[in-house]
Amino acid sequence: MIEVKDLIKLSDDREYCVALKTIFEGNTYYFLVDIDDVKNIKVCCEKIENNSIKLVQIEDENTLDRLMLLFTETVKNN
Amino acid sequence: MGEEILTQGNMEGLQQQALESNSKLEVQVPQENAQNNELESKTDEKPAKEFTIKQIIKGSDLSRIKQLKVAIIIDSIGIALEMLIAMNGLRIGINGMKEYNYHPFTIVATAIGVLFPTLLAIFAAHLAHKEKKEIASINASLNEQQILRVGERMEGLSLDESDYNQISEAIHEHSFERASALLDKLEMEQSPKELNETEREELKKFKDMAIRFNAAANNHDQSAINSIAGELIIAGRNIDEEQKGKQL
Repeated sequence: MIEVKDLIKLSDDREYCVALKTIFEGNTYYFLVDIDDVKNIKVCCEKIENNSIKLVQIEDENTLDRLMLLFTETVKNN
Repeated sequence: MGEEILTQGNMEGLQQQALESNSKLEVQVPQENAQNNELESKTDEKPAKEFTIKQIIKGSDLSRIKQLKVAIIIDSIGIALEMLIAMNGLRIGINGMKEYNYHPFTIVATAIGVLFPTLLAIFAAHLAHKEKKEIASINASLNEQQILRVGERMEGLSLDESDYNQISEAIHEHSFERASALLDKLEMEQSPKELNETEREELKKFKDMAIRFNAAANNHDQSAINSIAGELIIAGRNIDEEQKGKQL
């Protein structure tokens, strides 16, 4: 279970901190920031396949716009 | 019958149409395939970026420096998102006000009103970040000094693997108090035992006897050698008895 403030090492061998997390249309999305290069940001959707978690990077601009609003809501709530 | 003939004729006509349309379809199929190929090649160009997770480190298990780094990043992202939303809202608001022919002064005043709290928040956050960074750098230098001090103390001791592992673990967890306590214990165990007053006097007596014995031996003075050897044996017996008494 990935939570905000956790640190995850992805298959690109970089370490990302989980800055934000939101649930949208039944899927869990994460806002990840590379801790060694803060310009390297990824918005990813969690996919569970064969009991292992995979993260799929979101590149569709419409989805990203909607997610940013949801992420902002989580910031306000925190 | 006439109807049947007509129907048959219709059927034949329909079959002919179907055949013709099939032949048209056959011609169209390669085009569709070409379109599909184009789509496939497009998807090949931009595959969905999938990442597997190699490791998850819980926030609570991170070192203090990394915890601070993560906290700073999360704060910055929060501020950036709020700023983004505020700017977007402001842009929409200004456009709306322009459409309704609001006075420019009203538009500027509204913009300042909207942006001022955000700018204030950014300034406050900037100060907080600066403070956090200073704390982080102070902590880092303090940790460095403490590690050096522990290292210096370790050099003066003979450590087995278990001692070394325990101290290394304490340093890794930034638990310098635990490392220091371990070193204190080891230093106590390994430091030469201090002699009390009586022990010091006895040691002095032995040293004197040893010097006199050496002198007698150099002078080939057999009677002196015998006398000092007797004294040494008696003194040795006394020490043995004292130690036995202590043990009992």
